[in-house]
Amino acid sequence: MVELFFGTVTIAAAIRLAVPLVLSSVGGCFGDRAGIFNIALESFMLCAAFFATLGTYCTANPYFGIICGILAGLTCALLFGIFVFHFGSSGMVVSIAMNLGMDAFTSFLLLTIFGKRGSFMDERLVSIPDINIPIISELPYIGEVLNGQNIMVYLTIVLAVAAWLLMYKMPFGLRVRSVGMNEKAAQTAGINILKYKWYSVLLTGLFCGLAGAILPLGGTSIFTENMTAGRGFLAVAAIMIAGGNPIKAAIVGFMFAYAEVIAASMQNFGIPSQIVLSFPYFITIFVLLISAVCTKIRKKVVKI
Amino acid sequence: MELALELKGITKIFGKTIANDHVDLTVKKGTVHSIIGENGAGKSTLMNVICGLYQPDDGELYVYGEKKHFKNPSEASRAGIGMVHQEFMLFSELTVLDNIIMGYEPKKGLMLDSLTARKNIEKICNQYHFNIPLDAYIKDLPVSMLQQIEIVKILFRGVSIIIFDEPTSVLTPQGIEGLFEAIRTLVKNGKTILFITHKLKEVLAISDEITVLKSGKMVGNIKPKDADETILASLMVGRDVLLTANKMEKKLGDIILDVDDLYADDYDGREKLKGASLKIRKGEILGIAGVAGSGQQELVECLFGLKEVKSGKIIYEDKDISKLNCRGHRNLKIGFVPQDRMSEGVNAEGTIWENAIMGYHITSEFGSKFIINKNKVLKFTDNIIKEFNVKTPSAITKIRHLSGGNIQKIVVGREFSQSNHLLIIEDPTRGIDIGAIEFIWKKIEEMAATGTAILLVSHELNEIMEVSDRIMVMYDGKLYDAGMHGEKTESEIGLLMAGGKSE
Repeated sequence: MVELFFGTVTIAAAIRLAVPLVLSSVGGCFGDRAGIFNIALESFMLCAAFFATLGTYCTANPYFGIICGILAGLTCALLFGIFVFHFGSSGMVVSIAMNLGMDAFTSFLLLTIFGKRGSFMDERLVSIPDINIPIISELPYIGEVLNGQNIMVYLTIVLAVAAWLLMYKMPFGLRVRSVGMNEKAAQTAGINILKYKWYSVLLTGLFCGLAGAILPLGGTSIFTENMTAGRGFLAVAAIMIAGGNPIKAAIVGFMFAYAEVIAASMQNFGIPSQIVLSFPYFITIFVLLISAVCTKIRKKVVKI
Repeated sequence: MELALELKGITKIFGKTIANDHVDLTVKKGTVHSIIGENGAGKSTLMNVICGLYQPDDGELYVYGEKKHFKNPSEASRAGIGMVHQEFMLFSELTVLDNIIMGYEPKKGLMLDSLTARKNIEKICNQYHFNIPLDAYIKDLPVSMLQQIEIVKILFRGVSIIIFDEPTSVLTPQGIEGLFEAIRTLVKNGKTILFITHKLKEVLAISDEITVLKSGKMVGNIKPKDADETILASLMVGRDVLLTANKMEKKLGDIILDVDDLYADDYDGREKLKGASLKIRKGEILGIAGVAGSGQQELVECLFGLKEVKSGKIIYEDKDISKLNCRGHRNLKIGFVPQDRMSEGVNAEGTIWENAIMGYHITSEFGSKFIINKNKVLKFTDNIIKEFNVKTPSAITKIRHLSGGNIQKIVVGREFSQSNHLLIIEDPTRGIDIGAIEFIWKKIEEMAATGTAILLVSHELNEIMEVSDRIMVMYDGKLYDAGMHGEKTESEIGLLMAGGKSE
């Protein structure tokens, strides 16, 4: 049992699986704190996943693919921003349209460009290589968990910490948060609201682009229709649970991935697959419950 | 004397309304210059032009003799102009320190330099004798403290011309004295103050010079020694105004409402009413004064069935109504004029006639139970419009097209036209001009004279003192007697509002 929950294989798999979830959750925090209603992370990621596949296929270079993915994520964010900030559309409506539309759009491109339905595999579609870091590999436990992961794992940890610094220790984050809290007050403090909203949504796009690019390039080397499979929505849930704090969102994102791995390994114990498949969502509800209880306790303390 | 600020022919037009019509203004350095006028006279527009939120359509602006053209508030702030807004521009979820540095953060490399920020703020606090906790969260602090934070925030930006927009409306008389003390210290240190208000007594107390605006135009420039309240009021309104309620002799009836030992929480679960008790007789106007947030809102909500009563009794006409909902209250002939007219008093997207019958649409004579008789309703609405002198093109105009004062007249008209036995009125004259205040006070007097009991809750102490027959003060969830009309002075009641004991 201990092996199942804390074994190096489980944790290592969870870390690998967590990368796209954590990245999109961390990036989404900026949009959330700037007061932008954006549940289109799913579509940002899916679009990025497809164009990362395309970019890698054309050059056989996964890093070029990642750049394509980031550009795709940014383009989605740009589209979202134009509709919401300049045409005054509702963020909810634009999100739904983009989520539904991107699923169909990527399937369409898959068919017209690659002539495939369902999924696409090719020898030119290479994943990012795993790397060995000598110092880390010698550490007990941590070495087994962290070593031999691809570079994106390390980058994700660095980016999550950087995002936290940006949000809480730099003027930029203070201003983003101010825009989300009280637009009018932010304006009187001389803050250009639109500018910071744009920065925030583009940051979300950038992180989601990276997250989406990892999906086909993080080891599986395959693109399938609707590859994100709800990860964008899990990210939205993680952001809300974390209250827009990038580090907390990263932890919650990791918890989701961890739950997924546990669920997968539980199948070996003969537990019905329906229960196993619903496990991540039970975890979601459980985490929500815990965070609600925590806020309530914190409020009580303030009262006294 | 050096001029801090000079405006020449400033004009600002919104659609068809001319908010500022060639306004000229000269403000001398190191003085307190007051700008007064009714609501909609263009004071706020003018200030927003000065501090860069609006761009003028015409006219010139000089700061210390230099011609300026501000595109946004930060440019104005760089030129040395800052504004303390009427609604505080603060972030309740952030600390005081973060609020003060917002937009003007000192940096060390890429990072925020909180240490330097803290040192600079403490220097300002020492110089001007402010005492504020820098690490507290805004949401935990009282209103008078927030205003000090606003002032420190402006000073932190290094401004020398400070605009105060209606700064006293949220303060107790003692708080106002504290603010004036701060303003005098600022002036002594060479700052220039622009003071916007509609409270004439304060204007006369603090100003070096007074400018009067009326419908966008400058109509007077006067020194306080040459003016008194009557002169200023007639300049503002354009006719003579008596800012005193005309108290009539009347006979009080039986007790209609008896509230005993009432307890209730606010929406965050904090206990706000801690054993409030009161009695009102028929025909009596009971005024409740108090600093905002002392529990007045919870009291009113309990009395009208908007909030659950934790314990205590509310006896109305010999029945306990503490468990009744709003409809039940209306059926018992209790009327309610809420404080926030835009969110609770009216439906801004609805027409005037819809709003005029809102809440009485079933109980009253506006047709059968299922169908509204529009002819009757329109006739009724036209009566309100005529009787309450509402300025509107027609009864089918949307409420949001009316000014605040006219919306308030509709709300008051609705509640006053239903032969209610008890009226709960909260801040009836908030943000409306002197002419309308005079009118609404008169109407309240008339209603009381017909035997209606009136519970008047107001944050304007002046209003309570003028209109009420009997005054009570709310402090920390309890009600304290503050004598009959004219029995106690303003400062005595102010002391009670701040929690001081009466002898």
